[in-house]
Amino acid sequence: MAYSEKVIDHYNDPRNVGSFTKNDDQVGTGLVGAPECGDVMKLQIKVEDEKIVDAKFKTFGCGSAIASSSLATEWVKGKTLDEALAIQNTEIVKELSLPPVKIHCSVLAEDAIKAAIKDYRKRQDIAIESPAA
Amino acid sequence: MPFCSRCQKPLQGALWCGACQHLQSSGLQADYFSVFGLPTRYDLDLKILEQSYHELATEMHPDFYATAPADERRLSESLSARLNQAWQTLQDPTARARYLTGIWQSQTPTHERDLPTGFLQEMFALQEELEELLEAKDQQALAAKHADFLQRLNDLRHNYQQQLIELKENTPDTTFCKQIQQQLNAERYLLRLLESCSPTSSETDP
Repeated sequence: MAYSEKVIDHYNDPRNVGSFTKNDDQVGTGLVGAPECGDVMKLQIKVEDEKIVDAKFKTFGCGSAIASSSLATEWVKGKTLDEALAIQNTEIVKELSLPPVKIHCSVLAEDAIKAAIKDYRKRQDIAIESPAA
Repeated sequence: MPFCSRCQKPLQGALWCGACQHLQSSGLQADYFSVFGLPTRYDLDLKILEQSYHELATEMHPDFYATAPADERRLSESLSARLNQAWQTLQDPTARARYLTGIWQSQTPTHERDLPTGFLQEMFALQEELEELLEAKDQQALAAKHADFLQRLNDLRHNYQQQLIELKENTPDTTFCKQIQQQLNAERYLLRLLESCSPTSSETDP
């Protein structure tokens, strides 16, 4: 299968690989998987004042899954949580010129962003509630 | 039971009439179980399946339709292709289980991406472990992991196959469908883990 130049670029030089401490209240972690192929993707965001200041990812999967998550971390940085939630997998497909059989990789990246934000917000709720408890 | 579109006699399989040797164009829409006239069940006799496959493949072979009218010739090709797909799917236990849950899915949609609780976290942790072993080129530890995963895969397969064999009704309840679907999903992650154990896995088609 032929890859687009952008996929190859992200695959050879993935941006923001790594992880943050999971238990930091500023961090949201999204872990998602694709049952179609067994890919696993972890995407983490670091948030200050509702804005994503940093992002990391680690993906065990094909080149398209790695490129999709690498791109996702680039895109969410500097965005507010609501702006990041608006990112659609179709935008990732377009940017990376993913073929139809690899669309699920972009879905995975979108799901990972949403899961990370959900996890962050859940932590905030707990963090706000716990001192009162 | 369906009937032959020409002689009206009951059909054994959905593709071809054994009584008047007529190809059934309606067979193109038949599900894989109906292709062989089998009930929609996981548990089947592989010997009987193989036998019917060979018989049908011979009877409907496009070679016999070489001099037939063009539409009949094309129909024999399409039906033969359908027969091959049906055979490929049903003869493989995993493919058969996936196909069956696909049929259930169309009747009562369940959570098709569902996994057992904590499974994904575990898979991620195992992939990280494997990555370290691969970097360290620790062949012994990798072989041990491979054996572990294989055992787990076999246990998983045995478990859901047994559940499917023991299933009595044709349309199981949501809980059962979900259980099977979770295991079929987990199976793909385990297959991926097994693949990752070999040092050449990073070279596979991305």
